[in-house]
Amino acid sequence: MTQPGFSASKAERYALWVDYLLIIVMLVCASISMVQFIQRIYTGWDASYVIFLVIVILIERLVTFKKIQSLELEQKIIYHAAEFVTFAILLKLFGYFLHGFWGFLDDLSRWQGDFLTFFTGEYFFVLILLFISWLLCGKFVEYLEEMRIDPLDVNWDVGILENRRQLARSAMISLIISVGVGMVSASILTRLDITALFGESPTLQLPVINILVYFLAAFLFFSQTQFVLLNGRWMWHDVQIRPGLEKSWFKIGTFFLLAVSILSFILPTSYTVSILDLLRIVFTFITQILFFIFSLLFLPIGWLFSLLKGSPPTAEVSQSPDFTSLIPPAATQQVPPFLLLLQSLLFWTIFIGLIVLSFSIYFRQNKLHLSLGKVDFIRSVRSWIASMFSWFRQARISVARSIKLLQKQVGIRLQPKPHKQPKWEPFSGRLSPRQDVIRGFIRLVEEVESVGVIRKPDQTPSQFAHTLQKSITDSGEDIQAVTDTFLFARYSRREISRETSMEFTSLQKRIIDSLEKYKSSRQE
Amino acid sequence: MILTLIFFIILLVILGAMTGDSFVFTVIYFISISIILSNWWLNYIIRKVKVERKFPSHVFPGEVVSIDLVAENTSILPAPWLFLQESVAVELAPAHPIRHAFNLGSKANHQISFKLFPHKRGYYSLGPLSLTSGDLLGLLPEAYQRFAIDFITVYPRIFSISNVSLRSRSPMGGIKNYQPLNEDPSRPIGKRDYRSGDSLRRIDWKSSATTRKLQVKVFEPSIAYQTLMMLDLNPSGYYQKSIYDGSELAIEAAASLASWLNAKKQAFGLVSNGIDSLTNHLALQFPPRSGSANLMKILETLARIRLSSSQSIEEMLLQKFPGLPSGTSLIMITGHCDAMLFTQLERCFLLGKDIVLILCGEVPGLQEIKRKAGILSIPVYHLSSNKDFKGWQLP
Repeated sequence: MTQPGFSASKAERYALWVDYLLIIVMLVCASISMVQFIQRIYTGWDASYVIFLVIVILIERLVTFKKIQSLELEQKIIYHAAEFVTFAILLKLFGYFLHGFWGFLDDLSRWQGDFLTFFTGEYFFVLILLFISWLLCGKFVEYLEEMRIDPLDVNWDVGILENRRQLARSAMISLIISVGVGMVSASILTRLDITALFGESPTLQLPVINILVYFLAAFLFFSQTQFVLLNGRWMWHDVQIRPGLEKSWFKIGTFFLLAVSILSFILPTSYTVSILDLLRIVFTFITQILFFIFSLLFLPIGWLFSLLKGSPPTAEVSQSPDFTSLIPPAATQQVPPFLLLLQSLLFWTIFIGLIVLSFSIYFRQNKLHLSLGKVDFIRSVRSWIASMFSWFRQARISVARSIKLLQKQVGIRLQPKPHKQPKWEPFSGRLSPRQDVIRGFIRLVEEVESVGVIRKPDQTPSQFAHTLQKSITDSGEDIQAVTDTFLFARYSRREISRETSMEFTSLQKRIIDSLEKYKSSRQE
Repeated sequence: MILTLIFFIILLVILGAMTGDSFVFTVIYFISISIILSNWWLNYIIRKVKVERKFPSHVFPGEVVSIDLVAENTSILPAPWLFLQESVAVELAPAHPIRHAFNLGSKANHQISFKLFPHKRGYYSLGPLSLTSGDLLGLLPEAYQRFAIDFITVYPRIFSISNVSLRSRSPMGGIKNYQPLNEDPSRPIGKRDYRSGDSLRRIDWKSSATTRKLQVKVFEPSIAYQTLMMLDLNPSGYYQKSIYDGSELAIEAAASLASWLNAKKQAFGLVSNGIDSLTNHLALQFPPRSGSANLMKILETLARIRLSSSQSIEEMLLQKFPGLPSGTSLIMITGHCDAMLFTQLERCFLLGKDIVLILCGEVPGLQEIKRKAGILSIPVYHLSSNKDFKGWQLP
C-alpha cells in the first residue's frame, strides 16, 4: 500500500503531464473553431499556421507558469508585459517568414509614419487568439495548482482546503463549459447561411470533429481532476491507497469515454419528420391497427347479421392499414420510406429519452421532488385531496351504517348476502362484545409483531400504542382509539355494545391495512 | 456541476432545434449518455460489491487478533474506486485508522488485513463498515453502503490456580480424598482378605479363585466439588475507591475458578447480580454443571457482564439459597462483607453449606471480617491485585 502522506512520485508527475496535454488538446480544438469562424468571414484565408502558434504559446505558458509563481506582483506584471511584447514581435516576424521578408522594409517606413498600421487585420486576430489561449491556459493551470496536494497542507485546516479545491474544480468545469458553448456557437455560425451576417460568402461545411475531441478531452480532464481531489482528501485522512489506482483510473476513464463517444456517433442525429408529425403518424398507425383488429373480431357477427338480412353475405374483409399513406411525401426515393420513418422515430425517442433521463437524474439527486412538496400551494392541494378522500370514506361508512340500521328496523334485505364458505375461527359467534374487543387487540398485537414491532413484556397497552404510533405514523388516531377501547373492555365493568365492538373491528382492519403498506415499504 | 451541464444541454437542445445541425445532437448525446451511464454504473457497482469480515469471534486479552476484510466485486463491470472505512471500539486499540482506497476489477477481490490488540475483557462491536464509491467524472454525489456490525468477545483473564482449599461434602466424585469415609466403587485401588462384615458384593471372585482365599475389593474414597460461585457486581458491594478494579478482580477470580474446576472435571455454576451488556438484563444464571460447554458459557457471560445496582448480593443469596442442591460449596466473591451478609452466610453455614469468601479490591476492616469468618470456619481469601493469584498456586 502507498503510505499516507505526500511524495512527489513518478505517478503524480505523469498525471500532471497528462493534465497539461489535455489542456493543450482542448484549447487547440477551441482555436480551430475560432479559426474556422474567421475563415467563414474571410474566405480563402490560409490559417493552418495559427494552430501551430497556439500550441507553441500553450507550451510556453505551461513551462513558465511555475517559474513566475514565486515572483512578486510587480515583477509578474513586468514579466508578462515583456512576454507580450516579445510574442507580438515574434509573431510579426513569423508572419514575414511565411509571406516573405521583402515587405518588411516597406512596412518599416510605414510604421514610422503611422504605427497603427503595425496591427493588420490578420495579425490582430491571431494576436487576440493567442492571447486568449494564453490566458485560458494560465487559468487552467492556476486551478490545477490550487487543487494540487502539497505536503505542507497537512498543517492547514482540512475543511478550508477541501472547499478551496472543490471551488477550483467547479470554476474549471464552468470555464470548460463556457469555452464549449463558444465553440459550438462559432461552429454553428460557420455552417449557417445567413446573408445578413455574412453577406454573399458561402457556408463552410468544415469537419467538426474538433468539437467532439474537445468534449472528450474535457470529460477526461474532469475525470483526472476528480482523482486529484479524492487523492488529496485521502491524504489528509490517512487513507491507505492501493498502488496502481491512478493508472487504472486513467485507463477506465479513457475506455469509458471512448465507448460513450462511439455510442454518440452511432446514434441518429438527423431526422426528416418533426416531432408533431411523427406523433400524428404513430397515433394514426395505432388507430388503424386497432380498427383492423376490431373489424376482424366482428366479422363473424357481421356475417350472421347478413344471413338474417337475407342477402348473400358480402365478404367485406377489412382493409389492412395503409402504412404507405402515413409516410410524408417528402421522402426521398433512395431510402425506403419505412426506414426514414423508423429513423425519425428512433431519433426522437432516443433524443427525448436522454433529455428526460438526464433531468430526472438531476431532480432525484437534488431531491427537488421533496422540495416541491414543501411549496405551500402544492401542500395545500395535497391536503385538500386527502381531506376529500377522507370525507368520502366517512360518508361511505355512515351510509353503510345507516343501511344496516334500516335493514334491522325494517327487516328487509336490500340485496342477497353472497354465500361464502364460513371461515372457522375458534369461539367465533359465541364471544361477547367485550371478548371480541380483547381477542381483536391480541390479534392486532400478533399482526404487528410480524412486521418487527414487538411488544415488550413489561409494556402497558398505552406504552405499546405509543411505540406503534412511531412506526405507523398515518394511523395514529386509529391506534389510540383501538387501545382506549381495549382498555375500556379489559379493565372497566361497564357494558360494551355490539356497535363499539364492530367499530373496533373496522379500526383494527384499517390498522392492519396500514401495516401491510408499512411492511411493503420496508421490504422496498 | 451537474446543473451547469444540464443548462448546457438545454442550450444545445435549443441550438440544435433552431439549426438542425447534426453535430449538436452528437454533443448532446455525449454529455447525456456520460451522465446517465455514470449514474447507472455507480448504483450498479455499489450494490454488487460485498465485503466480508473474517475474524475470531472469541479471544483472550493479550492475544493479537488478525482481522481480514475481503471486498469482492460480483459484477462484470470494474469498480473505479472504492473507499472502505471500518469502525473499531476504542478499547480494541487498532494501530491506525482503518481506511482504504482501492479499485476492483470485474469479479475481482481485495483483502485488507489489520490487527487488534484487546487488553480488556468485554463485548466489542466491529463496524459498521462503510463503503463509498463515486463516478469517474465527479459529477454525481457519492453512493454509500453500510455493512452489518459484528461482535468480538474478549474473555476475562484467567490465572492458573492449583491450590484452592475447597471442601466438599459430596460423597461421590472425581477428586481423590484422604478421608476414608466415602468410598467410590468406580475407583478400585487394591484387594485384601475377606473379613467378617464385608459385603458379599465386594468379593472379587477371580482373585479369590486364584489365591484360594476370599478377597474383597478396596475402593478409594473420593469427593466431588459441586460449586456455585456467587459474583457480586453491585457497586455498593465494593469500597468506593476500588469499585472498578475490585469488580474486575472479582470477575477474573470467577473466571479462574471456573477454569480450575473445569480442569478438575467438577460441576460448577455461576450466579451474579451484574447486567449482561448484550441483553441489558440480569446476567444468565448457571446452575452447577460440569463440562467445557458450561465453562465457555460462563466465560462468555463474564466477558460481557458489567456492574449493576439492581440487586444486592444479600438479596441474591436469599433468593438462590433454597434452590442449592445438597453438597454444594458456595464461593462468595464480593468486595465487602457486612453484618447483613454475614447473617446470610451464617444461615448457610448452619444449614450445612460449605462457604468460601473471596474479597476483591481494597477491603476496609479486613481483619475483622477474617475474625468473624473464622468463627464460622469460613476461609477468606483477599485479592487486592492480580499478583495475589499467585497465592493460589502450588509452589
